[in-house]
Amino acid sequence: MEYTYKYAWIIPFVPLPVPIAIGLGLLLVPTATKNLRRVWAFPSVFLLSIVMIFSADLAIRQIKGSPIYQYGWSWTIDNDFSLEFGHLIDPLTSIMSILITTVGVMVLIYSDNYMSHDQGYLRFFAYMSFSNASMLGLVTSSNLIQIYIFWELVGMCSYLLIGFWFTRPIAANACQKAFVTNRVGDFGLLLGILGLYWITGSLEFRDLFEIVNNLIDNNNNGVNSLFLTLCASLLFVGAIAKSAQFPLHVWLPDAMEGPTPISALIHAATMVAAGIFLVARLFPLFTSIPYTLNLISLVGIITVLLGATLALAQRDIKRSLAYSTMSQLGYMMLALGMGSYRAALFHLITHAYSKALLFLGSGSVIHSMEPIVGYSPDKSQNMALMGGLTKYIPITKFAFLLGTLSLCGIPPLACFWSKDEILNDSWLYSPIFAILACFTAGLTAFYMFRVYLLTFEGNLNIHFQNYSGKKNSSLYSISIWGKKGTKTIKNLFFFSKMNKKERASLCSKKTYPIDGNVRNMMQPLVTITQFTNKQTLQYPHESDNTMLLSLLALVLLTFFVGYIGIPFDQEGGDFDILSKWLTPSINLLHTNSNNSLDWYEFVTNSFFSVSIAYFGIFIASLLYRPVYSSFQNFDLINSFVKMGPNRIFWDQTINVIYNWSYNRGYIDAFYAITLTRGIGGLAELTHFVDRQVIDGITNGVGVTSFFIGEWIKYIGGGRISSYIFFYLFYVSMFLLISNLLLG
Amino acid sequence: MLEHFCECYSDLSGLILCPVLGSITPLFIPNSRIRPIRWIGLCASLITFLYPPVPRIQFDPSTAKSQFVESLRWLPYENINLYMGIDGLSLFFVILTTFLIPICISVGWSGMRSYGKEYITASLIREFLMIAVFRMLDPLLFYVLPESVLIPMFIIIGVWGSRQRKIKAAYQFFLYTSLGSVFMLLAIPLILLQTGTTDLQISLTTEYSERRQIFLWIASFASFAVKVPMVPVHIWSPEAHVEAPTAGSVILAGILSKLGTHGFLRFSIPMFPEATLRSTPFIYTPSAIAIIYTPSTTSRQIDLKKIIAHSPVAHMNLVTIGMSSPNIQGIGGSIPPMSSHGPVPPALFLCVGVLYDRHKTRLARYYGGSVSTMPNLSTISFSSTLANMSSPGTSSFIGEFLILVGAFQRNSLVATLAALGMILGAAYSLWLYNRAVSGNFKPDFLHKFSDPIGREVSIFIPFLVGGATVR
Repeated sequence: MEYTYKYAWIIPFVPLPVPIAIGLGLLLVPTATKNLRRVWAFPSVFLLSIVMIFSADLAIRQIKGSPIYQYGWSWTIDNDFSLEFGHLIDPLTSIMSILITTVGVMVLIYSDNYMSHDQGYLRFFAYMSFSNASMLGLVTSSNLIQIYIFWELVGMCSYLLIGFWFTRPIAANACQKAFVTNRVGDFGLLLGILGLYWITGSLEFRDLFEIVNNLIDNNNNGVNSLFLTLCASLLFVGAIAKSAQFPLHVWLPDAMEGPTPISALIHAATMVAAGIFLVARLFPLFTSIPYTLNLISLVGIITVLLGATLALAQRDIKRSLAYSTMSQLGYMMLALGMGSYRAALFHLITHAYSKALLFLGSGSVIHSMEPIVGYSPDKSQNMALMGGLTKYIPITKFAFLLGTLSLCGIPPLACFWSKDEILNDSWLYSPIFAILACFTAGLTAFYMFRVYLLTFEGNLNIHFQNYSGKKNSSLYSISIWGKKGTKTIKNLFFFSKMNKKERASLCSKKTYPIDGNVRNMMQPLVTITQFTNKQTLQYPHESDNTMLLSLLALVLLTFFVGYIGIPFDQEGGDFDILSKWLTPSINLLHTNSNNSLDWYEFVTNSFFSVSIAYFGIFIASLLYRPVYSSFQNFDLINSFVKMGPNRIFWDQTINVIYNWSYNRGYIDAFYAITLTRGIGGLAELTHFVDRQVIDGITNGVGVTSFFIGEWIKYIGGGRISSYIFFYLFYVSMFLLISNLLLG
Repeated sequence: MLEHFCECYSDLSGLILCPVLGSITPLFIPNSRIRPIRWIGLCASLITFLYPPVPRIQFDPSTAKSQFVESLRWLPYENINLYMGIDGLSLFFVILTTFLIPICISVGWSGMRSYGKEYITASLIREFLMIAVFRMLDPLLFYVLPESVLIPMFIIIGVWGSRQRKIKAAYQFFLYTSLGSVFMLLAIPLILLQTGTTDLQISLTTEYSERRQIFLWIASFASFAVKVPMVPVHIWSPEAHVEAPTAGSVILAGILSKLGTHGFLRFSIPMFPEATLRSTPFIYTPSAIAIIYTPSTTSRQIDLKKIIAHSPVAHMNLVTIGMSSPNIQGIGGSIPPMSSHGPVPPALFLCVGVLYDRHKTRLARYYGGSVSTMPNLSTISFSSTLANMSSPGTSSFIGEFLILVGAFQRNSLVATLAALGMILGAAYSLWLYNRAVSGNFKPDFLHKFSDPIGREVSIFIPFLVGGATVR
């Protein structure tokens, strides 16, 4: 059994051959490599599955109560200073590696089909495998320096993947933004590491925790603990950037410019979880410094609320999911800051599966919309153009609905259990935070159902004109989508006419990828059986089997993953696997370590949160229910509308919220103005100093010497007596100076 | 057996002789026969490149003393002799020099249409002088030889530079550097006075009085600070980098900018330890300013080459921070960036050179979407961009990390500022890369395009390999 542990260092290296092989192949034999094409998907899936099995094995051992295992070899530079490299296997590692590999395998299988027509298919798989490798490296690291290295590598992968479609300037800007924002976080992380090394003299986790604890126990002089707090907070800055927490969250919504599988894997399930992972990994350190914990929970609660409000009015289906991710990550941070380690990790797991499901579902939606509305993300991801997709893509709808319900916190699904736990713990921590968190739970339900209803209910609005939403009148606040009955009907009519006209162009658009190359390609997993052009033209079509397979697998996971952490004892078996998994870890709030609540208490607690979620869903369905089915509650709407004098106020409030949300809380604009202009001004200043001051001095010296020369040429007038005078003068000056200087 | 073979080859005069012969031979060939001249130059530089493995194999890493010491009587009555030797530090630089010169010659293979012969000669003379500089164990010659490197460099900028501004750049380069060195010249008689010889190994063991140490330190600092370059006297560096031809920029960034830091490590720090310790703030302050200052200058530049030209300044100032931090992490950490910084900015300069050869413009706004037409170049420039912002996995990372570790223990504020340079560095490198490589291709501006092939790719390969192995 020791072998599994001993060879665990291999985990990050297993997926690595694929990117290396693809890279070399593309460089040396480009045509041959490109012709192989989908053969490359197989090794990447296969290798990642190996890691999955491996880490499942590790996880089972950890659940059974194996000890934490650590191994390192050091790279000594000097006696005082050595860099160690190694791997650490503990419950956290095993949880994260299972998460990464399962979601990773699903996403790889999915993207085999999703990306099959893309030019950069090979590049995509190379990047994906590389990012998986670096992510696995991050979670198995045993010290801070290793964390930092993989942290940066993950950031680099994210840069490459966001900018995958680099020919689009938006994507190019988005990846730059993501990298630089993450670099700000890395700066904090690096400084934190340096400071901690200065204090403790070690980068190894366990030594670090021990030394810090000793320091805090032994001496209580103010400066040292202040510095320690500062360092810990700086470490947290790294987590803020990577997990898209409040001040540095701006990159995450833009990161949706990447292909959808990327958004599912990197920007929902794994990479953004790296920040949570870092805080969880350093949890023993943070617990000994209460200020940092307070900071973490504060940042968490701000992010929870901000993400939820910003998600309210997004038009892009992926952007609203991204803001939802941000909000959910805020929940995890909040839980960590409150000290409920277990709840945070539980939510991490459940959210990862649900959000991956949602993103893959939205990818399937986009895939089905693309042939109809065009291949621009501005159109194919725009929810204003969607609607009524239930008819066309029922399986995707089913999966998406389950994901939505799970995220809203509806009982049998995964996120319910974890979110409920966080909400409960927040009541113990601070009532204000708890109220905010519960309020946001309602908001979550609201915006998730808004997305769901706009996408799948009502009628198809393909020819909705104002999809970019430049207009901003009060009429056009929320109610317009899905409620323009007359317009939709007209649109449908229009659509049928349009189709005949556009058939030729659409046909050519659709058929170009289906040349012999793609048709006869080897399909390692599931063959595509039906590929009818006619259906593609008129209606959104259901995605292919490979994509649905991974969707369904994630549906199963979303259903059942919640059961690993159900907090009450079942008769007979002990059901709470997660607690066993995390036994060695700390839980500050439940000090009596008895996690099992009784049935009654649990129901009363969860009743509250579930009712909030249902309330959010109710409001959403009230506002976004398509017109033909909302006649039943017409009276209710009327009663809302006819509130008399309150009406104007109500409209204004809605408008303010809408504008705030649609303009991303004006935070991006604020950054753009202050930072960009600030740096631009600084650059102008330095350039001025370079050109005018420094160069000016040099040129001034040159000009002066010219004048001096002009002046001095009259001295050399040929008089011997003046020569002698100057000669003596120089000699005496030199002697004087040398005497003074050299003593 | 290899060891045995090397026994009889401990004579390293070939390192010097080979480029000298290579630079003399073309003089006897008529100007019209340019091909054999180029081949002779390339072969001479390649043979020189094969030399350093000999001392590397025989090198004894257990001692800090100079090995393979050779001496030549020069001015015996003043005890001034020509001492040459190699220690661990100079071995790095000798390898770096011999590595870069063949690349320079092949970069100018067909580009240097005018004065082809003189180009080969100048390159080889430069190589010989630089190898001599790094092997020199004598402060006097350490003054003489770097000054002589200026001459071929001045000619290369002035003759083969790309536009009219090159004259100004060449003058600036020459004047600034020689102005700094004047102070060094003042210091040398004083050393001679005190020790009676200019042998470095003897002067290292000499105790100087504190006042004299400070005077000497300031004198040598003035000389080296211009070469590094540190902030108030840095202006020549971007100017010269931009105006020089690609091969010139490669050498300027790859080797000449190391002369200053090499001098610090070889002379200032070991000879005047107390003065160095006391004057740490004087190094820290301008270095920290430079680290913030130069990247922020770049963000308003529109010339691709000028953007890169600022990166050696920032990196070398990080190195000076490291070497003035009095601990093993700082000083030890300052050596790997010097060697890794040998291939990194040159690779970037070569990328820009390739673009310039294609399109004859260096203005950033004309470029965009190069990746769709030049995937190979984009890959190469991406990896060099990563190395330029010292992301982990590239050669620059480990040294810069160590420097920050070392500096943090001495002064956390400086370390913070230096780390802040990391963000700015990433910002401008990525900005450059994104402008040139991603986005839409602009066919209005750029008509011809072809990916680097053959000669150009083969030039880049050693950089990628070198970047990977250098740590």
